[in-house]
Amino acid sequence: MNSEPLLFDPLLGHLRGIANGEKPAAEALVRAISPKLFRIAYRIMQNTHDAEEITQETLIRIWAIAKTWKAGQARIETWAYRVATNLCFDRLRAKSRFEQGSDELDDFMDNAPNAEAELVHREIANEIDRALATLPHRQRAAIVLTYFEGMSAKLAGEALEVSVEAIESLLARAKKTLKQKFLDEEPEILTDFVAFAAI
Amino acid sequence: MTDKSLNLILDQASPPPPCPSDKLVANMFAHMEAQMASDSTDLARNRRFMAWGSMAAALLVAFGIIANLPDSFSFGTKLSPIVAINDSIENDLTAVPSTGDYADDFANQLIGYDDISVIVPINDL
Repeated sequence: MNSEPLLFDPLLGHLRGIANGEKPAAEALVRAISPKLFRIAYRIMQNTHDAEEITQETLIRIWAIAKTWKAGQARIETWAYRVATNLCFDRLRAKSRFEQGSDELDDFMDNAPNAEAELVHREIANEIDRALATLPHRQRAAIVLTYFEGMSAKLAGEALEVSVEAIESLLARAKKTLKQKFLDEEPEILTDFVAFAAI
Repeated sequence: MTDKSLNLILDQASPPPPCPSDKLVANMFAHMEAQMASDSTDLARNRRFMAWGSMAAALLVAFGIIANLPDSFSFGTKLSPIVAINDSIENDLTAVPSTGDYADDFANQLIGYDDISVIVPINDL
């Protein structure tokens, strides 16, 4: 009887090492997976502190499940994305509102070499972040996973525990909302963007 | 607005800060060490429990065996050895009929009831 997993998982070796308490395996897995987890959490939460805590919590859950992980049923990475996005949703639900990290602008002008262009860029970025923050949680996660992290609809669907059709629907609604927002509510972003692109 | 235009705009979103991988690794190690220390404490406790539990169970079994050995039966119940069993059918001709009045015996058992006739009709006595 062949007991090899049907699904190849490059992180499985690290996970088995972690199950045996091997620190090098733990470090390798954390370094392999944490940057993407952190980016996803940051894009969804738009908050460094929350992103860091969610990434850490996800890694601890990987450690907790390492001994009972059944190879071949799912990829560790996909499972970790699912845990991280669910932790994000939990936090977003728990928060009545979440902060925008734009307080650094005052100090920024003194330090940047091309301060004016960078300031315009920063303002555009903040506008986009604010627009993304207005999206419903799952639509935002769909945009983050597929657009910012370049995941396929299938992988993003597995991470969000929805079908490919549902992901496409979430994306379509998110894009429609964003386009509407940029065109109707924040047309200045387009003006700024065109001006910035010309710099 | 086309999807391409939207993508160009989204490209300008704030880049996330660098991932604090070193800190995450350090925290992961700390968590692993704490967890493994806790696991080893639990393991030691479980082993102690198993050892004492096994010993108590063994003592209980030993006591049960000793207490139930025929030569040293110590639960206080008297055992009478069976000498003989008379299982032959009694001959009607030689059997001695009882002289007892069973009806009265039965009635005597019912003393104390308010109305004995409810339980045993008078005519049957």
